[in-house]
Amino acid sequence: MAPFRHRQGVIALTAWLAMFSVCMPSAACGPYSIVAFFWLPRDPGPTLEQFLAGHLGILDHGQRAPYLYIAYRHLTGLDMDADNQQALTSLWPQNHLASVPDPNQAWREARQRVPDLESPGWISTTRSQSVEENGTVTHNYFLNCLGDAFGNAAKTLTARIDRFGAGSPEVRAWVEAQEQVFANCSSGETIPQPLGAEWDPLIRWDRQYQIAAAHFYATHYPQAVQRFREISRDPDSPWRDLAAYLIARALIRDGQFNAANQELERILAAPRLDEWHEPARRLLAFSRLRGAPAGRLEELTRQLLATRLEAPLRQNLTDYLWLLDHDQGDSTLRDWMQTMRLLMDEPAPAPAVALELPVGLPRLTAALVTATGDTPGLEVLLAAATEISSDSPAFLTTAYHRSRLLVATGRLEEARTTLDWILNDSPAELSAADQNRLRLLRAEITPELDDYLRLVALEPLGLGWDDGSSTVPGNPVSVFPTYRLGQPLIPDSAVELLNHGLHTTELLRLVEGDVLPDPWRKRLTLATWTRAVVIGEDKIARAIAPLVSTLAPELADEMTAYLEAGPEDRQFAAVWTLLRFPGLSPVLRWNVGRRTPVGERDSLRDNGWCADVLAQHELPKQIVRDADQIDAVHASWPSEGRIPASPDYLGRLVLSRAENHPEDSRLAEALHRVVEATRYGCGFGGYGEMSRAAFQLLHQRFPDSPWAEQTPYWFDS
Amino acid sequence: MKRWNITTGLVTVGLAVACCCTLPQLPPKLSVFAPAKEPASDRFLTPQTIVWAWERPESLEFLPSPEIVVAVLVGRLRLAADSMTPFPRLQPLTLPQSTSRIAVVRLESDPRQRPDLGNEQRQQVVAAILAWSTGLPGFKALQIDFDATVTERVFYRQLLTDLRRQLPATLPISITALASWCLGDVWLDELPIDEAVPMLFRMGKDATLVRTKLAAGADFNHPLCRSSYGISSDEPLPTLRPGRRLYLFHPRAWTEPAFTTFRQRLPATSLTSGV
Repeated sequence: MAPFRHRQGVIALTAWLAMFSVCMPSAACGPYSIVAFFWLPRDPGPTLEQFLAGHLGILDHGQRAPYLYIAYRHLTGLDMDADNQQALTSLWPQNHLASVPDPNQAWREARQRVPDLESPGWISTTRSQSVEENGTVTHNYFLNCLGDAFGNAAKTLTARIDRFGAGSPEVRAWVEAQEQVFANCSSGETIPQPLGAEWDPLIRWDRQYQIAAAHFYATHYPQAVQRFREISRDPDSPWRDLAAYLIARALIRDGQFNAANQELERILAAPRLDEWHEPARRLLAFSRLRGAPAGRLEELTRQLLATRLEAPLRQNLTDYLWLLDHDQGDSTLRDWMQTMRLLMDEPAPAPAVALELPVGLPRLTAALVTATGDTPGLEVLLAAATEISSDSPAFLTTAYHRSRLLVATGRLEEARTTLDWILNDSPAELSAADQNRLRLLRAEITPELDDYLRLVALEPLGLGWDDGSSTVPGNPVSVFPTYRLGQPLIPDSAVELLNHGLHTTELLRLVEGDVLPDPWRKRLTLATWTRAVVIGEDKIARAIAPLVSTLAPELADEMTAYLEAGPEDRQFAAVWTLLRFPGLSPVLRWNVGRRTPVGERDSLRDNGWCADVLAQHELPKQIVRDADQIDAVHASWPSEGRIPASPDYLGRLVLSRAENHPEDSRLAEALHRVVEATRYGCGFGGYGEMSRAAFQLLHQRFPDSPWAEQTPYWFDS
Repeated sequence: MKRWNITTGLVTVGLAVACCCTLPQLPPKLSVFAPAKEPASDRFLTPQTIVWAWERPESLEFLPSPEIVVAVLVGRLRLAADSMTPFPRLQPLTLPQSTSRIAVVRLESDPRQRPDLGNEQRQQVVAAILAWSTGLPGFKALQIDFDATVTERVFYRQLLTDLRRQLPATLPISITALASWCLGDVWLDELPIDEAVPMLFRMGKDATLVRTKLAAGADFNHPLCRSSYGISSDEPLPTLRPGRRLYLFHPRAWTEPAFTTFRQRLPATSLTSGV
C-alpha cells in the first residue's frame, strides 16, 4: 500500500456518498427523455446561500437531510453566523453528478513507464465480505483500496524510477510486489515475499510496508497491525510515521475501536507526528462514531443545537446524519427530521405524529407538510398557520401548505385569495422554484382558460434526464437546439388539455391572442394547423396559415402555396408540407418538445404522429372543465380522433394524387418521402404495405429520378 | 431494378461476413430455446421470477428461496470521452443462502461528453465487468444494462463479444432491451447473448404504443425478447404472456409487503417456479 496520508479524503468521500446517496436508484430503461424541472423535489427553492441565511422557501416532504438541519436551526431561532454558513456551503458538491475519477488512472500511467511488463489490468477497488447467519447471507461491499492509495503508489513508483531507473531490478521488484498488494483490493490473499539483505535498504523497507499493506487489504487485520507496528518502531524506515497512523486504521477495520482510539491519542500527543495530527483527529472522530455511537450522538446533538457552533461543523453534521440514518438515538431534531423526510408515496404517518413534537414552528411546519384534507385537527393547524408573520422563516412553508389544504378541502375561494396575495402582494421574497409551485397550485383552481394558461407558463430551473437517478438537473441544452433556457414551458397536464380538451376554434383563438408565450404560441400554431388539415377543418387551416408563416418563416413558402392552391389541390399542398416538415404533428409534444427542428427528420422516430393520436384521453386533474364541452370536442374529430398514423395518412393521399394527377412534378419526391416516413415514423413499423406500394410506384414511374436513386429499399417492421 | 428490402439486405450482408470468416470463433451460441451441447444453467433457462436488487441496501431474507432469483446490481460504469468512471456497489445485500444470483452491470454514456468507445475504453469496461461480477459469490448469469444509442451499437456488440469470449461458455449473458429493439429492430441478431429482456417500464413516449400493441395480442418480433419481461411495481402491468421470466423492479428497497403485493398482481401463470 502506498503512503496513505490523509484520512480526510476517506471521510470526505464517505461523507459525500453517505449524505448524498439519497439519489433515487437508476432505472434500467431509456432512451431517456429531457424533462424540465420547475422545482427540485429534494432541494429548497432559494439558493443555498439564501437558505443558510434563513430564507427557507417552501419546505416539503423528502428534502435532503442537511437542509432540514439548517431549517430546524432557523425555525427554533438558532441562527448561523457567516463563518458557519460558509463552513456548510462546502458540504454541497458543485454537481451532484460529479464523477470521481477512476483511481486506476494515475497508477496505470506511472506503471506504463516500466518497460517489459504486461499492461496493468483494471483493478477493482471494492471488496465484499459475506456473513452467514440463520440461513441468510449478507454481502457487505466496502471500498477497500481508496483513490489515494493508487495516487501515492504512482508517486512512490515515480520516485523509485528516478532513483533506480525504470528498467532496474529494484523497480521491477517494487512494481511486482505492488501489484500483489492491489490484487487484494477486490478479493484473495496475495502477500508479497520479504526481500533478502542483498537488496537496497530502501526497497527492503518498501517491501515491508507492502507486505503490511497486503495484509491490510486482504482483511488480515491483526497481521497488518503487527507489521505496521514493527515498521513504526524502525527509526530508519521512511514509512515509520505513516505506519503509526495505519495501525489505527487497521484496528478500526477490525472493529477494535477502543484500541484504535488509544493509538490515535498517542499520535496526537506526539509532537514528532504533528503532520499526522489532523488526520488522526478526524480518524478519532470516525472511530468514536462507530465505536460508541450513542455517546457520540449525544455529543453531536448538543454541539449542533448550540447557540454557538463549533468546528468542524461540516464533519459534525455529516456524522450526525450518518447516525440518524442508522437509527441511533432519540431527540426532537431527529423526530422532526424523520417526519419531514417521509417521501410523498410512503404511507401517511399516523395523524398525530407530527403533533407529538414539542410546540413551536418545527411542529407546525411538520404538521402542515404531512397533513392531508382528512387530518384530524386540521382547522387548528390552518388557524395556526395564519398567525405566522411574513418575516418568519416558516412563512412560505405554512402559507403554501395552508393553501394546499384549503384546496384539498374545497375552500377554493379562500385558497385563491391567499395564493394571489402571496404571489403578488406579500413582502416575502419568492425564489423561481417557489413561484412555480405557487403558480401551479393557483392554476389548479383557476376556472378561466386564459388565466390558467398564463399561470402554467413557467420558467424551468433547468433541464435534466428522466432516468430517475438525480433530481439535480444538468443542463443538456447542447443537445437541444430547439429550446433555449429561459423560455417558459408548460407542464404536461396543460399540454394534455390543449391536445385533448379544446376545439380547434378555441385553439385558433388562443394562438391569435397573447395568452401563450413563445415558444408555445408557435408550437401550438403549427399543431393547430396540422390538426385542422388532418381532421378536415379546411376553414380553420386556411385561417391559421398566415400565422404559421409569421411564426415559422421556414414554412412561409409552403403556406403561400397552400393558400394559393385551388380547392382540388389544396389538400395535396398540405400533404406536401407535412412530408417536407416531418416535425409537424396535430398534437403538442410534452416538455421541451421535439429535439430536432421541424424541417428535419428525427433519428429517434419522433416524426409525424401515431395512429389515434387524438383519441379520447382521460384528462388529468386540472382546471374545472365542462364534461359536455369536452365530449363535444371529441365528437368534432373524425371517428372520434382515430386517424391513421402519418406514414399511412400521407401515403394514401400521395398514392391518390399519383392516380388522379400523374402530371404533378412533385410526385417523385413525395413518394420518396412516404417511404422515408414508413421507416422513421411513429411506432415500430407495420407500414410495410404502404412502404412497398410507394416504393414500387416510385421505381415504376420515375426510375431515373434522383429520388428513386435515393430510395433503394422499402421498409417493413 | 431488383427489389430489395432491409431484411434481405441484412441477410446478404450477414452471409458475406460469415463467408469471409473474419470473426473469431465463438463458443456455441447458447439459446434459451434450444438446448446447447453445454446448456446454460438450468435455472436460467426455465421461467422464473427474478427480483432486481438495485443500488441501495437490500434485505431480501424474506424471499422464498430458491424459487426467486436475485439480479444484483454490482456496479455502474459511466463512460465519458476516453474515460470510464466506476461506481461499484457499496450497499449491503442480504439474501437467503440458497438464492441464485445474477450479476448486473449498468453502463451509462455521459450525454455531455460522448464516450470515444475505443478499444482501450472497451477493454477497461470488460475488465471492470469481469472483476465485479466475479466478486458476487456464486453468480449464475451476467446481465448488462445499457441503453445503447445507434452510434453505440458497434461498441456494445464488440463488448458483448469480448465478454462472451472470456466468460465460461455455460454462463448465460442477458441484456436489458428497449421495447423498440424488440419490436422493430434487427440489431439484436448480431449479439452473442442468451436473452434480451424487454423493459416495459419507464418507456417514455413509447409507453402507450407498446402497451397498446401488447394488449392487442402482438408479441415481440425478436426471439431473444420472447423469454422474459422487465416490469416495475409502480406502473400498471402490461399484457404478459405466460411462461416467461419476469424481472421485477421496485423503485425503493424491497420490503416483504412490497414484494408480496407486487407478486399478487402478477398473472398466476407467470409464477412458475424455476426449480
